[in-house]
Amino acid sequence: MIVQVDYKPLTPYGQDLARNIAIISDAGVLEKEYSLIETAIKLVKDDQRAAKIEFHLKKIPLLNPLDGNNFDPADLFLIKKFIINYVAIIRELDDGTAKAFNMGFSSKKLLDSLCIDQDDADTFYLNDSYSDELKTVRKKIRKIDEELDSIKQKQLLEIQRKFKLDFKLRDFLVVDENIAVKLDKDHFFIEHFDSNNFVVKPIYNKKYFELYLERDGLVAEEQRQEKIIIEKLSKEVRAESKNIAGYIDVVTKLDALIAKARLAVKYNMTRPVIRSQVGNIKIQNGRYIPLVNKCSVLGTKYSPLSTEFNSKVIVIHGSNMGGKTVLLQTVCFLQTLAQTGFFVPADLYETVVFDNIHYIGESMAEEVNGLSSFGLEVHEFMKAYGNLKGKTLFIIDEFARTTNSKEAVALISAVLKAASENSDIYMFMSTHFLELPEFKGVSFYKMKGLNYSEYEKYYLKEKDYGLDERIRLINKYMKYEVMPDEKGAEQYDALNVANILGMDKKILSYAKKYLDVGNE
Amino acid sequence: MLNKIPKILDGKVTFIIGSDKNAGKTTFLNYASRRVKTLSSPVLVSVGIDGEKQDSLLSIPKPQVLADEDDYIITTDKMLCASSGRFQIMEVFPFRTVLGRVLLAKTIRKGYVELVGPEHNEQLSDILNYVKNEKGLNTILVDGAVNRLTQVSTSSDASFIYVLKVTNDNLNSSIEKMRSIYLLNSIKKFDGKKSGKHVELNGALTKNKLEGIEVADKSLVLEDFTRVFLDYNGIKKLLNKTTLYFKTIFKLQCFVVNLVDIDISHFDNKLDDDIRKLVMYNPYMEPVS
Repeated sequence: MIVQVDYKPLTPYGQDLARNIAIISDAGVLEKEYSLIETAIKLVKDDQRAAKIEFHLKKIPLLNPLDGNNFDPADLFLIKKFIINYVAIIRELDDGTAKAFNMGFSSKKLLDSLCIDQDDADTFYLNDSYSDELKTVRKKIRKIDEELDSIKQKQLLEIQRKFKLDFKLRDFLVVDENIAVKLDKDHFFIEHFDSNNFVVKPIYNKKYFELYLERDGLVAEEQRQEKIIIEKLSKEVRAESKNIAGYIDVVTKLDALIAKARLAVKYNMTRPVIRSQVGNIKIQNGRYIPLVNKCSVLGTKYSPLSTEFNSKVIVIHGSNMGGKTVLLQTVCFLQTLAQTGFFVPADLYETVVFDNIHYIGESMAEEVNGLSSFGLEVHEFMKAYGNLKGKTLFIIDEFARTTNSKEAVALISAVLKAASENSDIYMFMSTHFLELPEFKGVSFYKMKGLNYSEYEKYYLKEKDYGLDERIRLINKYMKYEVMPDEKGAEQYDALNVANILGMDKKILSYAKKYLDVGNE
Repeated sequence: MLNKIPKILDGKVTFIIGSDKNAGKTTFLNYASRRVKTLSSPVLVSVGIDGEKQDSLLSIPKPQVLADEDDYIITTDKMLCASSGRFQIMEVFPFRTVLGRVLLAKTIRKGYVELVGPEHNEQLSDILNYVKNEKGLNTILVDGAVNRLTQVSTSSDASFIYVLKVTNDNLNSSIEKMRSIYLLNSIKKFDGKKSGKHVELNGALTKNKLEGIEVADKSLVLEDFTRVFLDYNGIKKLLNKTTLYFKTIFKLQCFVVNLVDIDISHFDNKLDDDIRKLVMYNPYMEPVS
């Protein structure tokens, strides 16, 4: 699905939203969403500005819940990073656009607290400026560290001079017993490494240990001061938690809209036209993007779909490989995009809003143990039909195609009758069965089919065509257009398609004779 | 050899991996990180939590890592809080371990800290990519978990240092292990069709699996050297039978050998000439003058 491949929100919030896309049945909500996408399209077309906004969107982190008591430095880092990038995004928007996306900021005091000393980098450190007490204790620690270093260096130099042992870069040394025996146990900690070698560590003087103990006490005081600051910052965060939750909502929305706008620009998509309660579906140059991409890879021509359906229940006839399934997939694709708040790949797509959309066909994902494909179709249909709620679109590909033709026709006729009598049901159904009765509100359409006479002019009997070439030939001479079906105008393309695909000539000849006799 | 350490490590992702539990990897990391600082500030990383509580080299609790000023570390928020050093948080990754959230921090005031890394190789790969590409930090030292060479494959441009603790009990097997690694280090990179007819094998190459593969007149392609689970003789036999290629090459930088109750000259005599050139003895061992 295009949304899974090309719809790429940049924030963890937008990505979560993308994993939970749902059908929207409120036309007003959809129209508002479409208008926002139009605003977002203007934004993404301004390359420089869009690049800056997307740069900051990528840096928006996922925050822990904001209703906790105290936040730790990692939480404060994330909150600071979130706010800095959120504010940077607003800075890139003009007033009108910021207003359209509902983006505002009113947590300056918290931002200033987190960015003490105007440190607005995406980093966090409880630096000395947070409190005089912290500054004082750290100053004392620094002074002790300098004294400790000085004692250490002096002593290590002395050891090097006296014992030729170099502890620079090493906290301990492994020396052999000839060296170890010469070392003074008052100045070295010595223990066995193995049978012949000893681990030695310098023992620093009394002053060093006194300073070290003093330092431990100061570090404990430093931690106490840091805790006070963290509590203060946590209080400020809690006071702003509602606002921050609001920032998360609007940045999620902006992220989703920019991703939708990118998609719309990439595939030249347009705003769907939502009709009021009643009306039929109209499509101009509708494109089923997965197939467009596939055709592009295969080097075959893709034919967009253009038609205006004249009723709410549509039956589609047509040749094998004539495009019936693609037509249904295109309608399903456009309608699903429109109702999940996306623009659509069509020059025009006029439709109505449904409460439910059901696709019943070969690519159904659900598997039910023990059910044949016919059983699965019936199960899927009843799952939808048995729980009808509101306006529902059924898209059904070759219903009952695997059962006997007599009963299949009976079943399809009954389904069409039921659909025609229920004003809430819209239905698109493809079928090969031609002998279906007419019902009020049910229209018949057909795919234009194969231009066999043109194909015959092109086909070279002496050439040995491979399967790919034969498929390309069908693609070239098949008219993937849909048109109203004139009752009685029967069309038989299956034998011609079989011929192009290389069916045995003798068998084809029998089949044609059988068809002629049958028709007589 | 020890003097080459800064140059060996500078601007690279280097995994410090070991032959055994408590081979001395963390101790070597502490030494290496101080040496490389003359060229660049290192990023110190550990792979998960490997349960090594003791450093058997010294029979003391496992050494913590000394994060010096301007060093970068990958660890968890809880480990930062427990350190007497002070750190600026540069990034909090969306991975949690039992010891807290994994983050990147820069050392403001030096101190000992326990490194706790991500639990999964993909997470480690994401972190290494972020550190290199987003932060532009290229000297990365990874303290590897024991007997998990596969971890190396999380970063395709990585090299490694192999740390061994050699005792009389494992002397011969250690030398055989070094030979195996040296031999595998000579395998060439698979070059698509240029490498001729070949069989590609996913996953580990074990003795049993090798018996089931028909490699006559074809070369054998594996993901990388970490997938070879054969002893030295097994590898030699395989290389006599076919040409082996790896899709990804990891460069062996050197062996760090910590000898316990073994004389250096005795050990040195047992080494092949080519391997001897790559051996660095316990950097904490003071040479006898």
